[in-house]
Amino acid sequence: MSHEQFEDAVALYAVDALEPAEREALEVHIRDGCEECRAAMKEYRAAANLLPYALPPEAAPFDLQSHLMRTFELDRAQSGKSGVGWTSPAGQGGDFPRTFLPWRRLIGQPVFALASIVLLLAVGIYALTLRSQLQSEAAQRRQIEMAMQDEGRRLTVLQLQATEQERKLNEIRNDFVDKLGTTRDTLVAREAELAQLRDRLAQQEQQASVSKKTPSREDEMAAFLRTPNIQVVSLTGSDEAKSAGGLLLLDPSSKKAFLYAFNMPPLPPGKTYQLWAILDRPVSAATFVTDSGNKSRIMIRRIRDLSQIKKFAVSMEPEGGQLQPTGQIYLSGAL
Amino acid sequence: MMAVVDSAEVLNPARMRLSPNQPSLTSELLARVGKGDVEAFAQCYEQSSSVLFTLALRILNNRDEASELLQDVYIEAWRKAGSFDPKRGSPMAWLITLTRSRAIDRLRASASRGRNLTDSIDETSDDLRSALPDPFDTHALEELRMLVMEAFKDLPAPQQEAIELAFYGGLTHAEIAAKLDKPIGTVKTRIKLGMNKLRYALRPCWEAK
Repeated sequence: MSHEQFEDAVALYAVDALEPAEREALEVHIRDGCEECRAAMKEYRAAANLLPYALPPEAAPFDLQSHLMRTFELDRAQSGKSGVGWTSPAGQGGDFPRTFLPWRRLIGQPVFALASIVLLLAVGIYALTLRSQLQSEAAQRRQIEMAMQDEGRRLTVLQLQATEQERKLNEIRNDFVDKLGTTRDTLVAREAELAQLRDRLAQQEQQASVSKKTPSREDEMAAFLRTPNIQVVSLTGSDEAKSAGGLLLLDPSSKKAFLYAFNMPPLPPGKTYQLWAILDRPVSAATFVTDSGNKSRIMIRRIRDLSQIKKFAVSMEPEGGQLQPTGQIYLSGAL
Repeated sequence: MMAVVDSAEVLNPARMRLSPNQPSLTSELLARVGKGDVEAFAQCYEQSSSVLFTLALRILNNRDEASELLQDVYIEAWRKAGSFDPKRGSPMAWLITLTRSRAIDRLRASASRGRNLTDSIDETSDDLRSALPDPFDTHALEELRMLVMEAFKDLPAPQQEAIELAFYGGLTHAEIAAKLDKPIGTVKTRIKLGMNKLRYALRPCWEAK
């Protein structure tokens, strides 16, 4: 055979598919030093030895291990040796006692037939005596199985009940959580509304307080006009404002005064009208401007030394007023 | 056609490490079995019995036969564990090889075909088994199962069938050809192509070691 033929034969050798002569020839070829075939042989044999792992695994007989262990324990005890250096007597050519599946080795021997008959008779008698016991045990087993089934059904019912209770509890909890959330939202909204109301109340109280402290101009005017002893001073226009005129109302008790002026000449920028109370000398009583209708209405809080006043006059002065009249007189009237 | 790149992705060694609680079937554990440590044997059994029984059941297709064979395998492992050489391969690969060879022998014995695989296995050079991966050392069992299953499923059905008849059925290429009524060359090609794909798809298993 050529090297190529041996190479082809290696794969078949690995699964023992070669004929004996081919096998022997290949082994000689390898022993003669063909490293290429030797290396290929190693791998093919390795692959072949993995083939059993592709089979669906089967468990070995459950009692074989215990049987083997008992056998080996007995063998070791009989050998009288143990530990390092121990060699089983079987390894030196002896036989192990065979108790696992021994009947297969006895088949065909006369003693096997006799022993089989005796064994069958014994087994038959033993079987009869055991029959009632087995039946009783079977009945007991059935009872136990029925009891277990009952327990199982009861357990199933309890589990269903527990599941239902748990479901209801979850519903209640979820409902409670929802309501709690809604209530909390409502509470927050109410608190916000309350805060707004408080703010508004505070504002209104503040306004009321201000209103109480500072009565409106109309209120003040109405109260002033209701005063019984009010005095009226008629003011007439000077030559520079002949059509102008005015009224000055005086309350001697409160020393307040109200000035109404009309047809007043328009004020140039930076100028103002100033009301003077003439005693032995002019004293400034107020400054005022006119509206778009050349009218003016002012309330004067306090007129000093009212009983000594003889005359009133209105002059045009620089903005801010003067201590003494410096400008032209436009209105005047005696008390 | 199988995508090697995809397989390499699945085979990311970082993803295939065992969980911290997963005990491994180490050479040290097998050495303890060899010294008569029954507790160590119990661990060894727990980590290997499912795969070995699955393999035996697949080959023998009979639970009683597979159970008895598994017992024989573990008794043989108990006997020979002391002479197990870690340089020759992983303990798990050793047990798989032992189980398969004994199961195939039993299958052939029952068929009275007379060819004994055990002899040829025993004659196999030690070095030829040294690269066998130890799945418990490098890969989580379930991820390894998924990987091998995917790799095998990716093969065309005729290649799967030929490999299964050889590996699990213990048939030679000529016997497979006769059984399938196909030319020998066709069967050889199917096995060669299928095994070649498996070799590349599963290569990260042992390269990650």
